[in-house]
Order: sequence, then structure tokens, then C-alpha cells
Amino acid sequence: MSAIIRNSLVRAARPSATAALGYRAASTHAISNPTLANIEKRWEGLPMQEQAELWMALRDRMKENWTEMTIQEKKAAYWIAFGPHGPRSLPPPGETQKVVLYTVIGLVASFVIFASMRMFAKPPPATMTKEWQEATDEFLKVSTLSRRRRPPLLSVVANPHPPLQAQKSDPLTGISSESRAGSHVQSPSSKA
Amino acid sequence: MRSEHSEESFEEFSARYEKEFDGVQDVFELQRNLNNAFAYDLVPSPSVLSAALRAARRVNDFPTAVRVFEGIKAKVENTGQYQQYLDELKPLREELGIALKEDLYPEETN
Repeated sequence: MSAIIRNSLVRAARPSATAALGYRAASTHAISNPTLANIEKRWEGLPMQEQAELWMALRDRMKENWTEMTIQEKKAAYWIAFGPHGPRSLPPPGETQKVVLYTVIGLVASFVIFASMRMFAKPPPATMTKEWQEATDEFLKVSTLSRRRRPPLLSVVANPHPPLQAQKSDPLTGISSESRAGSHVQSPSSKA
Repeated sequence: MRSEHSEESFEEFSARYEKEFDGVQDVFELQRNLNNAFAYDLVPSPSVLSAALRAARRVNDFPTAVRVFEGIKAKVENTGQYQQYLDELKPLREELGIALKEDLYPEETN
């Protein structure tokens, strides 16, 4: 019993949108200006029910002669149908700045990672010097000793005139040929 | 190699869409046909557009009628052509009471 009374009280306290619009009785009457005033700002805040009621009212008005629609009704009908809300809403303000900001943050972070990795890296390998590569060329053209007793490469650098024995690697087109093509020298000198 | 299908001429296009718009029964059909008609590399002729506007009137869709003029404005190459379309469709527009978006929202015209 009390629930019924409360429900009816709630209903009485909140006039339904239908009653407020007052169009059901006479749909040919223009929708009042206060109902449509500033609809562009209010539309998204309206409850679904009121949105539906208002749109239905406009639909009824659009069934009449369009020349008799007020400019407010035309604006509201157009805005509700094609205005920038819902799927047509404009991008939120400051979106570009946000994208730029986060991109810059990402670039800075990746640069920090890159720089710190480089800072803790080992020095470049000893083979990547002009001297070592020249020695490699020399070694391939004229080898040192027999295969079993080949000294490590570094000794070639240390001693430019080791006991030589022709290795003649790649003799037709490469390092040992007339053209001397295929040199391994590619790095700057370590003394530079 | 030539296509087996012949190119549709502008007149055939117009006739086809006039027919389509004349047969429109609801808002969905109207908007579907408008999307199709405005998707070509041409501006639909005034006869097609008046058929579209009459279809909008028939299905009681005022906003889409306004949108048709927005579509024309987006499709034409310059304001002079837009003005020609406006002049051509002016009698129908006044008969149906269709406002332009520029009139409804003059502050946002671009």
C-alpha cells in the first residue's frame, strides 16, 4: 500500500516529459522554445527517455508542412540527426597536444634506453681496425707457416716479416689475383 | 583489354537514381540511395536532387533534406557551382520549406 502511494507521489512530483512538452494532444502546435532552447548543449545530458520524447515530438512536427516549422525546430531536428554528438562527435579538445606529448615521451624514453645501453657497451672488437684488416689481407696473400703451427693473427701484426709461405687465397679474382680485389680493410686506423 | 560492361552515362545515372528516389519508402532507403548517389565522381543532377528532396519530404525526414544541400556543397568544385545548384533548386526548397545549414548555423559556415 505504502509503495503504491510512494510511486504515485514520485510520479506527481516529476512531471513527465510528455506533459511538459504538451504535444500529444495537438501535434501540429510548434514545440515551445524553452524545450528547444540551447538543445545543442543539453542534448547529451538529457535522459534517454526525454531524448526519445523530444525526437518523437520533432518527428510529429516533421510530418506537417515544413514551412510551418519554427527555426528552432529545424535547428533541433537537424542537430539531433546530424549534429556532432555520439558517433559524429568531434575529437576531444587537446587531443593533438596529447598525441604529440606522448610521442615525445616515447621518443625520449627510447633515446634514454639507447644511450644507456651504448654507455655500458664493450669497446668495438680489436678486429675492427685498419691494422688488423691489413694484416688479414697480408695473411691471405702470403701465409705464414704450415697449418699446424700457425701463430695467432696478432703476431702477424707484431712481426711484419714472419717466415712466409704462399697461401695465395682466392688467386683468380680475389685478394691474391692481379687486381687485388676483395681487401678486408674497412675500418679506420686505431691510431686515428 | 576493354571491360565487358559499358560505362554508365550521366543521363543513365540520373535516370537510375531518379527512379530509385521515387521508389524510396523509408529513411533508411533514402539515406542509402543518397550515400550511393553522392559516392560517384560527379555531382548528381538537379533532377536527381529534387527527386531526393521529394523523397525526404515523403518520408518526413527534414534533417536529411538539409543534409542533401550539405552534400552538394561538399561535392561541387567551387561556390559558384553551389550557387547554381541553389538557384536551380530554390523553388523546390522554398516550396518544401527546407533551410540550409548555413541558415540554421550561420556561425559555423566554413
